[in-house]
Amino acid sequence: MALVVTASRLETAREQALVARAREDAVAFGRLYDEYLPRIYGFIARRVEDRAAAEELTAATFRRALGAVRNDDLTSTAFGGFLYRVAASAVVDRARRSRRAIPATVRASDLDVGDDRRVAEAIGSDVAARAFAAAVDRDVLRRALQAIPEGSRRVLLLRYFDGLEVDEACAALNSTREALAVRLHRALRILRGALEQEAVDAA
Amino acid sequence: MRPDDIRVGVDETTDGYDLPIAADLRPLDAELTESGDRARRMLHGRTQPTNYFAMDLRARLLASYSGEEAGGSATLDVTAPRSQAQAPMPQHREPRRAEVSLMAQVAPRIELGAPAMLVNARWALLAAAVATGLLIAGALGTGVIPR
Repeated sequence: MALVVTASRLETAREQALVARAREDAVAFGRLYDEYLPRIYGFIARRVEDRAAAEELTAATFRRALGAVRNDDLTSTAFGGFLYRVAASAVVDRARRSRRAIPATVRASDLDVGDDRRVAEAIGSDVAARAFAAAVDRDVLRRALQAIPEGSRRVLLLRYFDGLEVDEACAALNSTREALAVRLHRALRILRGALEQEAVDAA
Repeated sequence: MRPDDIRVGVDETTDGYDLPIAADLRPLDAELTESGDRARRMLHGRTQPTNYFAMDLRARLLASYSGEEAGGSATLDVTAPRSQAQAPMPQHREPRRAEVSLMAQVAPRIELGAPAMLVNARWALLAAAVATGLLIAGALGTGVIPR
């Protein structure tokens, strides 16, 4: 079953060629911008309820991407994955600035250890989890989604709520394709177990 | 890897846009896929950028290619990754002779000294004081003001 896509995707080779050209060519960067703006804005807006804040974070994400492209300093081969990681960091930074509730397991010192934790934190934000749960028809599935561990919910959100392509999800989670498949299956099995438990409790 | 984890082998039929899902999990996968579609549709209006924002940001980003920054600051408020954070700062470079000449040509012509408005005000005050003194002296001399 294919991942649901939200827009037509650039082929990887074409995207890499555009990234290479975008170092000097404004038209090439404009093409990348047009391709990714709706998706990156959507990713942020699904986690930040204020439109002005979503615009601010989106602008910061693309400025950062522009700087990385022009300085030939992309940290990822997948441009989309790079954008999602920067966007996720921006979401978490904003949450920290506004002193919103942050999971107790995340410490300030963790921010120095790469971006993985903050990316994961942004993906699994309460706003995103609530919005996804609201779209689930079955009550029992909705409760099961709330009951599973945070780490499992993140993978499910990224795949089903954000509809990221596999390569983008891999880049966003700093994960290989195989590792992502394993994490997804693990999360689905945990969710199925939670569903069975909910059914037993209901009986 | 746990015993019940799947193994993604080379013989798996994936098209580059898909992950293989175990048969027993496909119904759940389908239900979640449908829920995700619905969630994105429900949020569609709120999760789409406005045309104004899209065009404005595009123009500001592309302006950097022509060396101009059309408003706004290029400073980012997201934390740079370690590789960027530790990058050396650019060295200060003395301008070349041609650049110095150009700078001299385009530099605004400003002469040192007090602003003209302040100079004028100073003389006006002095003139007013002298005129007042002469008026008082004249009035005293002619007896308009009794001694």
